[in-house]
Amino acid sequence: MDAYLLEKWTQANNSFVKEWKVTDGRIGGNHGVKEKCHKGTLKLLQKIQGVPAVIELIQLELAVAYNTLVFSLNLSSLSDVQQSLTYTLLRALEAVDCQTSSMDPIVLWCVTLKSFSNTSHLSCLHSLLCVQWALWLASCQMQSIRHLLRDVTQEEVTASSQDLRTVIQKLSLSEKENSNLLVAVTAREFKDLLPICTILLEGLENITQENYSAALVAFLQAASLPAPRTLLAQVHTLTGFAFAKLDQPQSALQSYRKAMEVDFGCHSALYQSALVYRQLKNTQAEIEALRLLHSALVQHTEEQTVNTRVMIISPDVLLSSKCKDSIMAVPSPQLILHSLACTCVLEDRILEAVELYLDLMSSLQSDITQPVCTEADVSLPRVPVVYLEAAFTLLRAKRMWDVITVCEEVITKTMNLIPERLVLDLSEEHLLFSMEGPSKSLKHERLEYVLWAAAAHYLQGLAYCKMKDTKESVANFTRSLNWLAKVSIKSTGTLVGDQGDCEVVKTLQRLRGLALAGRGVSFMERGQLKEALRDLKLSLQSITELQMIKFGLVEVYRRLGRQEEAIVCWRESQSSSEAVSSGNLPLYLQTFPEVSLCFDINYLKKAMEDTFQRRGVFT
Amino acid sequence: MEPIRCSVESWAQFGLSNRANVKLLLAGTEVLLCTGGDVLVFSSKNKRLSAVLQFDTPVTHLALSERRHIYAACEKDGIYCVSSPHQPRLPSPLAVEDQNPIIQRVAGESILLKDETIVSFLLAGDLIITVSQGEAMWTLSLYKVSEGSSSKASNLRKLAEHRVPAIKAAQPHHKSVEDEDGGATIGRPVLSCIYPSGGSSSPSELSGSPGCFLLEPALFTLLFGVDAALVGSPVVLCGLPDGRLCYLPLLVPGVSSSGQRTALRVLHSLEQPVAFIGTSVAMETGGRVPRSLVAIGRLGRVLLLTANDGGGEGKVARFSEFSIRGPVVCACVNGSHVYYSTATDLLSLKLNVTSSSDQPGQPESPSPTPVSLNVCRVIAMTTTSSDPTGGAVELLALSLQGRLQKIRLPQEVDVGSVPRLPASLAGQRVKDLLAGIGNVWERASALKSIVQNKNDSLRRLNQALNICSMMLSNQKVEDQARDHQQPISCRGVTSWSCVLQEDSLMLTCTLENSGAFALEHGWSLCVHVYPVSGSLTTGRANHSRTYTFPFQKLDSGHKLNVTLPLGTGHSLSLPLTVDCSLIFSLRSLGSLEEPKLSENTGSQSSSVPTQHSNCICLPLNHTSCRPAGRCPLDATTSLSSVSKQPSSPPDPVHAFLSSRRAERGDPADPGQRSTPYSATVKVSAELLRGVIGAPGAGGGGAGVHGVSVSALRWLLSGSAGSDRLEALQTPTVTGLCPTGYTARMTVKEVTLSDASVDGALSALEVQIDSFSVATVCGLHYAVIRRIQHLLTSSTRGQESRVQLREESLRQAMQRAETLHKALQAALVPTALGVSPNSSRTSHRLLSIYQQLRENPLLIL
Repeated sequence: MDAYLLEKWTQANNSFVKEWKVTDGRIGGNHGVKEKCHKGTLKLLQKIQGVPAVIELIQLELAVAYNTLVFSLNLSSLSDVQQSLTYTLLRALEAVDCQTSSMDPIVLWCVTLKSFSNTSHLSCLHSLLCVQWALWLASCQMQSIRHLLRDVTQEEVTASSQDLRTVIQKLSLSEKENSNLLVAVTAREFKDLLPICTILLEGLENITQENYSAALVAFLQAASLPAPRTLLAQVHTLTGFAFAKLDQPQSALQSYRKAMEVDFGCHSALYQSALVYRQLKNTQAEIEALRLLHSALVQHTEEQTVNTRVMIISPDVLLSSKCKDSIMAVPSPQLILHSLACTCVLEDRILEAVELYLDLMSSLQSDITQPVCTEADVSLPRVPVVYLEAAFTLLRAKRMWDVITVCEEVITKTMNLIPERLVLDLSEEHLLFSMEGPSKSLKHERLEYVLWAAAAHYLQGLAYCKMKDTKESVANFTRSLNWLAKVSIKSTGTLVGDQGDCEVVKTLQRLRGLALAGRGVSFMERGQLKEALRDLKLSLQSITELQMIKFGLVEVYRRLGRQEEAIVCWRESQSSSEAVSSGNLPLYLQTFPEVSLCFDINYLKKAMEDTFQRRGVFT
Repeated sequence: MEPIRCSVESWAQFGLSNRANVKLLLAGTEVLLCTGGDVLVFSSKNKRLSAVLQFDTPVTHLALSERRHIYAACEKDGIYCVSSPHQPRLPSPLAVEDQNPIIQRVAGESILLKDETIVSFLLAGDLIITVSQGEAMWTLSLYKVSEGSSSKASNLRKLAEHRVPAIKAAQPHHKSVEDEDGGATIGRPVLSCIYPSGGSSSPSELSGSPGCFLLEPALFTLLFGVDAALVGSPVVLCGLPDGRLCYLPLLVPGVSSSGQRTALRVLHSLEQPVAFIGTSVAMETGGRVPRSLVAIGRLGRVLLLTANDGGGEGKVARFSEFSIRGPVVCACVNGSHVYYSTATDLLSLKLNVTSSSDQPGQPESPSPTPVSLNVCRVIAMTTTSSDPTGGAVELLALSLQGRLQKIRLPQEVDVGSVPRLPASLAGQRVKDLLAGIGNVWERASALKSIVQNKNDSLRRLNQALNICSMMLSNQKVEDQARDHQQPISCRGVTSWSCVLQEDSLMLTCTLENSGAFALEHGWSLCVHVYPVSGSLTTGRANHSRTYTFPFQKLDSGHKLNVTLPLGTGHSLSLPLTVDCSLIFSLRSLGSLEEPKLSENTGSQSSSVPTQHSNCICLPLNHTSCRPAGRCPLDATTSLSSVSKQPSSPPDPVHAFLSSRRAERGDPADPGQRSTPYSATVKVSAELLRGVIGAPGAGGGGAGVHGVSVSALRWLLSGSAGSDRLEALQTPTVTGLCPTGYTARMTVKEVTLSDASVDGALSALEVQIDSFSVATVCGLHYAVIRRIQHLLTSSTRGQESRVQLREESLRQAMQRAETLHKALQAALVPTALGVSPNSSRTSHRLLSIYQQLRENPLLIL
């Protein structure tokens, strides 16, 4: 009867394992089949555990329990694993008539291992021990792992060192296999994976504690251990990250390179090296890296379904550290495109940037993407911002009608949403911006609408100005100013405006100044010099440090024939060096000489030099 | 309210196995029915069942792709994809005979997505959106389908997954409703996909895919955000059984503000299971773009979302809720009407939302009242894809008994109303329009002035051409009839006047316009004065002068007088020729240059009288070929200059100074001469008789000198001093030239005996004496011209009957020949290049001239 049951249950177990393996081998592994296997083994285990625990059946029971738990791990349903594991241990102890009162897993393991120390079932128990290890690893209970492993190596408590790695090195687990009983994953495979994951996790913990040098030592040791390709690549990437944090960018780049040599699919290494290049201000290399990354990502998503050969126990299940996720995460292709485009604009690679922005816009309009969790500070800006940046880039590329079209899009979408009047109380705003939630977002959102609409009109104005259609440009600058006029800022005066909440106000202020300057220049081109003078002077009140406005003012004075004032203003503009404080401003409000003004600066310079020479002769 | 009659046409009846999962789908002429278990394909053309698709488990949801693949979600199984069973069959006559429907067993191989938890799905274009129910989660998954040519090649790629925690709604009504219906439909979420109208991503044809709706951009932006509107992202709306309406913009990347990672957000909660989500026109404006979003709960709560003006707050979305009598079993939307069935009755609800801004105090607009259509027990329906604007609405419905019926209801006529613009937009629109008007006006006025200029120019050019043609045609006429009066003529009169104590000869030209056209701005009178024989007085510069008098306007019948100096005293070189012409400058046509016109006139210079490339020139008194016009002027001028003196004795000092100057200034003149130069002109008295009349008749008491005096009078007539000619008694006149020399003109009567065959011929001899060669020449020339004029005007008609003697003629010929030879001999040095100014040559020429003048030929 026992033998029959044993035979039947063994067969049942084997069939489930076979089915699992077949499914697992198939492309895109079917979730449902796996669920079925899991449930089957679970039922089988329940059946086995229905009979009293006897030593003859214990090997089968342990094997089935092992398979069930592995399946559970694989399906990421970790909730009941610990309970089931403890129960299995209790059953094992029951089989050898050993009683224990403690339910603490560590004590339990200690007792069980002692009781089975010289039996043939030790290998089965060791397999189960691996499950326990993996379980604790997945839930990041490093302390428990240390205790457990010390028990296995049977070291004295006095010799307990904090160094887990030495413990692991001394660890020896029996690897006897029973050919009759199939297991989902061999204990050896499992054991190969566990040490490296443990060391990695230790390193990652160090990183979260910002102890980078310790983390580096751990990662370097992990790199020396045998591991699957993808895991090894991750190890190299993490090493590189630690190097980068320790301010050794070249070593970091070396590590990233190694990671990519091991596994080209390791996109995070590519991304991290791009970040290092950015830090090193090696823009060329950064752009190349980002481009490579983008093409790799685009290809990757296409091939994703084709070859995904997952391991039964994937390191990802074991290493569920948030820290690792954030390091290994790669931004979405759209974000990479955006960051590429921004870099290109700032590097004056305008044509390239235009292409990238157009790609990005078409991607935004057609690609459905799963939101990727990355660090909070790197995320794609709002869509209108992307549009405005694209318009700005197009403006620099002198594609004026495209600028107008893109801006028109932004305007039509935001125009309806702007209220007649938006009062911004800075003292209140201080509270608002520190607040989270919908009450903050509505007002902030509306402020952004105003900014976007005004900026879009401003860019349109610039485009028309460049096309010498000064009438249209004046109209657009005026509209921009009208939008801005809807925001009234109430300042109580006591507020110290050093916080980020004032950034919006500063941005609005700058936009106002730029729009006024633009209108002033347009008026000047139209010959309405009085209006031009008024606008430029007002603009200078908003933005004091911008040379372009002063040049405009000089030109107006010159045209008005007010030479003295022109000279004074010119001297002022020459003496004050242009403060590049536009760092925090949106890209589309940056000023470049070719964007800002329509008249020829060189001509003005020459004219002023002539004036000075003449004066020099006369006086 | 008047009950609405609608016609119900019953098509077929089927047995329903599970009334909860009944679905109805219209695809062209085919109706897809899900009767709870199997999928039936019913041909509406033949009104019969054409195919049956059998599945292992009951089908809960159904969809049809553009390529006619049927997607079916089966209970606790997954989504199957089969190609429409009609495709492989060819429409052979045999097939028509075949009355039995095809029964097709759908095998497990055609499963597309195996997921037991899927409770509902939506097919939108090439996307499949599934909702699956987890333990405490609703999971929304997006898949991209790439359909192959056959059903097998279809494959699926998972794009994204979003989760929303489930709420265990414990509502007491649920059970009762559920029990009445006898099914578990309550638990199924409703999915729909909203596209912004006018966006690039919205499919052109939405009618084919149920659950896909268009929505106007303003409301879309308000509800789903600027980002979604900008990228034109379709938005999936999911009405969960707990009443929440969740939305998910498909294209918008995760919202940037950290913390709000989940893209799936809740729009509203109906607090009762959602039965239907759709969009409706729902505005009195008769546009075809749906302007409101409608959601209906199973218990009869209707949520209507519209975009309203928030009164200074920009546009805001207005959520208006009202209740209708439930339970709502199924619903569909057509235009502004919602049709819904409460198992017992089918009702029509007109959604009519006032677009006025909702003030807080203002009461809610009354909720619309449903109208009964008197059709009962409808459990599933769909609108046929008829034209929503005109004609009757047709609904396809399935009754509780399984009867498939077509319901046709009359469409009330909508009063077409003008779409109104919201106030917030209006300001901007008005500004835009005003700016646009300004632009257009600016352009138009510029164009108008150009056109006006051109018209003006053309009109003036036309006028000018008219005048030209008139003058040219008149010239031709005039060639034939001499005494024809030019329509525009110019006459000149000379007079002496004292300018700066110097006598100067003034020419007064009178331009008379007797033609039909007025001479307008652009025309000018050009007077060209040049001496006829300036070459004789070598010392003086042979200068011709041109005077141009532009005038503003000269109407027909008006005259224009201009006075110009011909010269003072000694600087006057007589005789002078005066050419008058009218010039029309093309430049006056406007500032614009007209190169074409000037080219034209240049090329036609032979026919159109032009002098320069850019002006038209009309000669008034001109040409050497026709001296008639000019002759009186020349003669009188010359003579009057002589005859003036007796009446006004010169200032002695002036005369003295003049003579002194003249002596010094004229070195070629052989200063002291004892005898004056003289020249003689002989004219037959016969010839002059026509002018001076019979002897004694004109002279009064002239005595023996009668003929001579009257001849002299004739010669001097028309000049400045002609009024004193009556006092002339002797046939001798002495005058003082402006140069200071005196000149004497004597007319004698002579009788030539040898000239005529008939015997003696009486003739008049005019002798001119003066110490100044120039004066002699001038006077001689004037007299000759006068006589020439007389000859040309009188030769016609009367023929000279005088028979000349051959001998005298021969003699005259011989004399002329010798003189000619002498002249040629004298001119030899000139021809050889020796300076002609040598006194020798001058003397010789002078003597020849004198011989010529002293023995003149008789003018007959």
